[in-house]
Amino acid sequence: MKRQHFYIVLILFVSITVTVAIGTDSFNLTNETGAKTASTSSSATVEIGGPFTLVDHNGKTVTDADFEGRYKLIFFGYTSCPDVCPTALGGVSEMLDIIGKKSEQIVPLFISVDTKRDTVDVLQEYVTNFHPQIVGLTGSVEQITAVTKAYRSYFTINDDGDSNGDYYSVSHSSYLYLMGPDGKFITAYGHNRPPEDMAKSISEVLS
Amino acid sequence: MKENTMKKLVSLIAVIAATTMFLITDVYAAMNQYKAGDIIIENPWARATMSSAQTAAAFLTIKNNGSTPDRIVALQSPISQKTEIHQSFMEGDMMRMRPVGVLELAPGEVTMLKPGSYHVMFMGLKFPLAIGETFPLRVKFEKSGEVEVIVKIMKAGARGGMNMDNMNHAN
Ligand SMILES: [Cu+2]
Repeated sequence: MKRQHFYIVLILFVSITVTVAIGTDSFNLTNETGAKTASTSSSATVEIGGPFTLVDHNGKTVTDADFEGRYKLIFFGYTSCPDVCPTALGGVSEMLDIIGKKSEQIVPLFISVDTKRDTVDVLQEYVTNFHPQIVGLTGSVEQITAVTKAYRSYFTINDDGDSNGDYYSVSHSSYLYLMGPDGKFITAYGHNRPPEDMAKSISEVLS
Repeated sequence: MKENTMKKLVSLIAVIAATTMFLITDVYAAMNQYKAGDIIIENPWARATMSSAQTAAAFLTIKNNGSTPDRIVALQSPISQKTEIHQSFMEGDMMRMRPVGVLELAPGEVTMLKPGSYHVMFMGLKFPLAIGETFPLRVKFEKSGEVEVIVKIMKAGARGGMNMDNMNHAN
């Protein structure tokens, strides 16, 4: 009888251990996410930024002067981007929520470099899916080329889509530029900078 | 008498083995894991898309517990016309994307399809992906057969990682 008890305990112990081991294993598996990317160390001598004229996600023509007096967090991308842009805008959204009320001093500007597909309507649906504070901007090819040049940002429309040309990809610089209320460049962040980190860094700059 | 005890013991072991198997299966399900031979796929997720979206991406973790290399040779999902593995990578100052024909799975290695790296790319999306819903994805391996996984659709700005509770906040 005693022996039987011993076996019950032993077998239960073994099965619990097996179960726990599997649980722990998968925990480690999912825990290894997210390679951290350090922010860019932009050289202070290069001028980044400048005047622009674009169209916002409500269809209104806007210039840099419309955002004067506020901090701007500028990101270039395209709404069909499956990976980098959602990561960046998801991070910006979380950052705004972490900072809270004070984040009203910041206007995140998402400038689309995909003028063909990113119409005002598309941009509106896109940015509002992320955060109400984010402003989507588009414009003519000339306007977009001018603003990307001013920010030393690059993009290439790739010829890798289907025969209808519906789902080509766009290569683009992926930095988030933090600009001061005076329009001067402050710093830049990598697109996958953890939101907590970015919130801490930006909070130190905000008044 | 002794034989009787042995019989009891054997049936006891059978019951406990069955319970353990049930527990293991249960743990797999709870952990959102899927198995094909020695390959384990874990935690497949995607981001919600816009109504006009032509593309979407999904992310998951693959572990090859076997002693031989394997590879993903094909993917298929009813949500899109074309399903491939793509890789985001930095080239100079730009983020680019390229198709990866076959994804190698080295023995004992964990391969993470995650933002900024590899992802399952859906092209020619048949309908938009709505937050909170799921869709099936079939993954075909060279040696380990194939498995259908269920992909969870998270918010548009989901960044993956441990905090999968993210999926419940819309904005
Ligand atoms: Cu892709």
